[in-house]
Amino acid sequence: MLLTAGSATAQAKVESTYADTLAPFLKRHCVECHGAEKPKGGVRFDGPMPDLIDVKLAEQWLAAKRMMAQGEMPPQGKPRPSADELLAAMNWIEDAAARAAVVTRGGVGRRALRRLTNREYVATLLDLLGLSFPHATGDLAARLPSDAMANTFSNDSNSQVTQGLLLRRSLDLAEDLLAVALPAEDTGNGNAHAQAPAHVKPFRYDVDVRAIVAEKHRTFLATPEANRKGQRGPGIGNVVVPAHENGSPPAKLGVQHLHSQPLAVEHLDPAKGLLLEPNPHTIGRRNVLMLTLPFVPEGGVLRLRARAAAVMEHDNSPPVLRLGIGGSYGEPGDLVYPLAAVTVTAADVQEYVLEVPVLLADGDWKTFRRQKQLLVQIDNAAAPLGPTPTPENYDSKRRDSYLKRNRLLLESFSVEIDAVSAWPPQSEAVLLAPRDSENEEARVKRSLWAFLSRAFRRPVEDRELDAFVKLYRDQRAAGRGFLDAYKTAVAAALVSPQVLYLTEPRATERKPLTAWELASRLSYLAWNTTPDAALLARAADGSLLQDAELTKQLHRLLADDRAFAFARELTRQWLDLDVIDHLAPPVTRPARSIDDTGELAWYDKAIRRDLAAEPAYFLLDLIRNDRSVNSLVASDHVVVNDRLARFYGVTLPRGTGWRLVAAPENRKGGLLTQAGCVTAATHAQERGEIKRGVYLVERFLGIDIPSPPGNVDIKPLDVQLAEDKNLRALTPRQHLDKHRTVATCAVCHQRIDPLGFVWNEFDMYGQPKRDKQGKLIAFDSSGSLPDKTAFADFDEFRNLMTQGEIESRFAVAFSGRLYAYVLGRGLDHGDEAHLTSIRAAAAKNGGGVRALLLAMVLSETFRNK
Amino acid sequence: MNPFPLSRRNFLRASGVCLALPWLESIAGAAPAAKAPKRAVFVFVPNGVNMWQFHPAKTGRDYELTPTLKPFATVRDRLTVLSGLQHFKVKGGHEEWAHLLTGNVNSGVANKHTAVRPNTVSIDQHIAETVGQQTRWPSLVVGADGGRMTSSFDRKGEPVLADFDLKNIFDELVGADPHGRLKHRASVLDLVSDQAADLRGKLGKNDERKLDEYLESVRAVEKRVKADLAFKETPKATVDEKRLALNADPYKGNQQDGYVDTMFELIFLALQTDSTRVVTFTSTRSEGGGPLKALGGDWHGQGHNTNDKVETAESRAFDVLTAYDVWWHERLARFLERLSAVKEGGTDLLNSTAVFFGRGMSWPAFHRGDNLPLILAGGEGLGFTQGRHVAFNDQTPIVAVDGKAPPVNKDLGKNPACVSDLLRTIAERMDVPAKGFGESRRTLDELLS
Repeated sequence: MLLTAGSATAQAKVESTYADTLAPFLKRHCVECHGAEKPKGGVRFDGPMPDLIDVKLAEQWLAAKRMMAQGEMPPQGKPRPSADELLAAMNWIEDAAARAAVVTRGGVGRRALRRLTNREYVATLLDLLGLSFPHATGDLAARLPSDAMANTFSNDSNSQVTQGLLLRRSLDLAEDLLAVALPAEDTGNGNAHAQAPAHVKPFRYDVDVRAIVAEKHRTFLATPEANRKGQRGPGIGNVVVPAHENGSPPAKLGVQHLHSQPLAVEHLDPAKGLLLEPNPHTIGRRNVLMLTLPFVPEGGVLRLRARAAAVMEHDNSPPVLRLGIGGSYGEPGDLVYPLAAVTVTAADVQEYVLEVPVLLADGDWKTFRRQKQLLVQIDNAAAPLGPTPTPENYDSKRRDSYLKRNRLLLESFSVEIDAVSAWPPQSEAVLLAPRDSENEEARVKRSLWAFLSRAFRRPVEDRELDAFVKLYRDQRAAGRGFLDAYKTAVAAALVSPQVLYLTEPRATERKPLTAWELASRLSYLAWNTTPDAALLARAADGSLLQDAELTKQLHRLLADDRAFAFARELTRQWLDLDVIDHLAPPVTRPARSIDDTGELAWYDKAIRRDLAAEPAYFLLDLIRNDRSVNSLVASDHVVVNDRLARFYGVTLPRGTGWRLVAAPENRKGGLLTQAGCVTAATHAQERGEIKRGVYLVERFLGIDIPSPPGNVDIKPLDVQLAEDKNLRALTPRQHLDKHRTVATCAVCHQRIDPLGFVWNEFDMYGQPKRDKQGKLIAFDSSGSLPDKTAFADFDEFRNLMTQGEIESRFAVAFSGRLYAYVLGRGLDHGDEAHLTSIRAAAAKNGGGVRALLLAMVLSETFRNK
Repeated sequence: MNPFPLSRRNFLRASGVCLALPWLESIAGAAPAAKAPKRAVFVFVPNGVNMWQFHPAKTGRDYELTPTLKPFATVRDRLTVLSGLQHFKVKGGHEEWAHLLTGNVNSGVANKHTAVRPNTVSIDQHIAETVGQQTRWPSLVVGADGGRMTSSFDRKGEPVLADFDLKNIFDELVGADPHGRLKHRASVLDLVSDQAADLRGKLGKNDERKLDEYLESVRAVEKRVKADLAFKETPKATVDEKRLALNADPYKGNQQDGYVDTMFELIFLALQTDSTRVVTFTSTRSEGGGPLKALGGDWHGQGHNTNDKVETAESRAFDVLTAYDVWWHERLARFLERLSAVKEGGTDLLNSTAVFFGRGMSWPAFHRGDNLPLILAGGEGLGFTQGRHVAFNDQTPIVAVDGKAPPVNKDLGKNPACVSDLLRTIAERMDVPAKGFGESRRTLDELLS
């Protein structure tokens, strides 16, 4: 219907393009040597329009394309085609190859079986098992082999690769998480976690910090000066902390200060407790409190409950309560590993809970076991809001105010190991409570039915259920305990294809998705995880298949906090934001003194994290407030946190977290003026024009640029040598102009280079360039678009990008990118028609990003398989 | 209808997956006629080098150790410095990690919309197809980035995912299985592969390829579980814990040494226990941050900044390159010393292990791919003669031209040689035929005794 009509006109278009551009090109430049008489290399180009489904033909034509790109063909001495002619020929070949690829895949608009990405899989496991560790800082997805792909989203089904290594690590992770979710040995009566398991001994150590401080203070004052052994004030020293459980060995409490900081007496407040200065390193043993446990836990959940408050004396970041573990101080292997952290903003004392499953806590457990003890570290992980000022502006008298950050008051805390997580209380997520007079296998069957239906995202079939129950039964018969046997069956489910893939059974003709399949697609799109109960209910009663309900659900999902995962994944991959964390040199100027180096590293790490997060917050705000697609690149406001506000030089309204504020003059380009994008684009290169040009052309204009060929023929060098002996005399623009004088380079560079100066105002980290005195440097960001439209400055560039509402250059490029993410596959030539109607539908609905997303979700391609 | 249908596990048992015992001096002593197994290790290091300080001017045994080769002083008689080699059609460029071991001009991500297979088989997988049957792991593919950042490609041209997790590699290597999970894994894998087989009928033709990929993964894990379980019962080499920094973070400057040295130690252990005979270590990506880049200075970017001029013109950029070159050579020298310190069958472990240390770029500014800075070490027992500087393709000592790198020499002389020739030679010395591999036209007999 729509498809066949579409492909008929598309086919006609392909043929006419061939006849108009490629056939004359071949006749002029190729057929003389590659025709009927003694074709060179046995290769002929005098035939009819090739169908590149034939693999040998495809290889021949792609080789020809490569040789033309590298200037090998036509050979020396023959008339050279112009850059435009070359481009047209290469584009036709590429297009033809793409069509052939689509046919091999089973037709336009379809995709192969899509596997969950690493992050989707981790989120799915946590949700299915009812586990949640909101403050944990480790990234579980790092345990799986990276699925990042250079040129496409990690959910691109056609490019995904599944291998033994991935399966092994997925199974390891599933089993680790299961051990946390179902740790207790069940005796058969009552709840699964009623009793402590044999191998995880629960313990608790309570520390009343205020009482200890008061006592130390009293003792110090009571000691005559002569006996104080040179101590200037009270200190915590070493304190023995008895265990809560009778008969368990005690722990030891100690504190480490930074030597250069004020007297210890200032840190102990006998009325309130211990004041923790910020740890001056990203993680280290200064300004920390250490509780040494006399053993090493082998499982369970490590929990810190702390009563704490923020002491905000400076105009700087709020304190952060952080939990870490480490080995014996001063010995090899005494690195500290951060486990969880929470920002403390309240001035009055409140309870904060940080917990991490021991099995998932990254650390040097081998060393810990050898030392037979575990150091639990509590510190204040506040990062500075701004860098140390430049040497010229540095006032050593104000040194303390630059470096001082806000302190964390610790009134009391307890460290405990529990068999299970205290909350969320989803004890029945994996195993249902037994019913009266129900035998084990019946309980297993009931529980597996419930679990598998949730895990498979649709009602489990009897055949499937029987297979998993049989696995349990066989394990039991082999002598394993009830819980272990059950967990093995669940582990198998967690790596079965029904969980690992979005399975959508289909036939040769296209059919609509079932409501269950639609729920899966929708949930992974908007939340990056498995559907929740409400969505599954809409699938169960079939209402999700109706436009109205589908719309309602999409809006519900987007309004939820979990939609941040969508904004994060889309921006992270689309804008290559991961790269920000690893670029050298440091974001800020060199440190002033030894004391500053820790601060600088801390600030550096924090600002990079913020730069990488800003696009996600910006996008989410756009979606929530239904702003236009073009406002992604043209906006009167920015969404920043305290640190970024300082970075950009804006003042935030009072509050915490990420907030909206009016954008300064040079930051009104939405993503285009976000320092994170500029940083990711420039790749920390001093002369980043080409990199920036490629970034803009590919990611904001949607034009794919092939990788540059190796330059053994060194045409650029020849050109340089021939024309100008002294390279330094050239300005960057003149230097780049050289690319345009050679056709093979020009093919790509005529589209890249003129965009390379758009960001001329900014240095490699997205800050306005300044000279050595700190004055702003004049800049010229003129250039032209690939279609040769010129612009005089950034504002004009931005206007060109956003002219035309939802059919603007940017909106067209963005909708293509978004659609690929939504569909989980690269786009093919059949999608253009769809995208046009999608954009039209979005325009009728206000033209916002949310409307665009809705139009995509309602589209035929999304709802059919 | 077969009244005794074989379960899949029974079938595996019946087909006789055979496992080799680790090669130990005692076993060699008991059967002196037994020869040491042949091994190959392929190491990829990205970016170019400081070409003014790598290739020696003299060839033969008496070549001078150039500044970046100095770390090899104690092992120079166990390695060969190679000059003049290149790929014929692949001319350097980006994504050089994707064609170093394949010699395939269409390799890796260079073709974004290809309908043709993305790449072809890499030499390590080619060798492993034959040799890998004799060890519990057909090959070991590792890297600091891990995942798709790999120089190893299977017969279908798909990347072989690289392992990056030192702790996990170690646990699997020594058969640690800390939670006792291996025993039950087989039943889990049986079940899921049955589920996949059922699914196959319902998903339609085009999904079958993906599901087959899944099924192959399951089979691969199954074989691995069996092999690892059996390995647990065998005598093992002693592990020197001091040489293992299993928690080293390759992204942190002060832990990079620990990470790479530990990876090499794990490779050494894998060879010593005969867990595998083919190893590929794709150290890290070329561009844009990433692990093992925190020596100070943007490795890739400064390569561009050298503009291939003489050192005095861009000393800051060249200093960065030199620092990385020396660092990597120190790591490799340490690995070679380790292999040479272990006695085996009258000589040492290095004697039966060919170590190829390769880069896909030479002059970094324009990503040139001629006169690649390559090193081949060990493998004397495979027939390689070591301790020399050998120049191919009529390569002459590097002399600046107009204050810059000499231009590419298009005339490769009477007996041209390419990297694929070297890869093929290594394969054939391991008794694996590789005629015509990649761009290969001949073997490099100049390297043999």
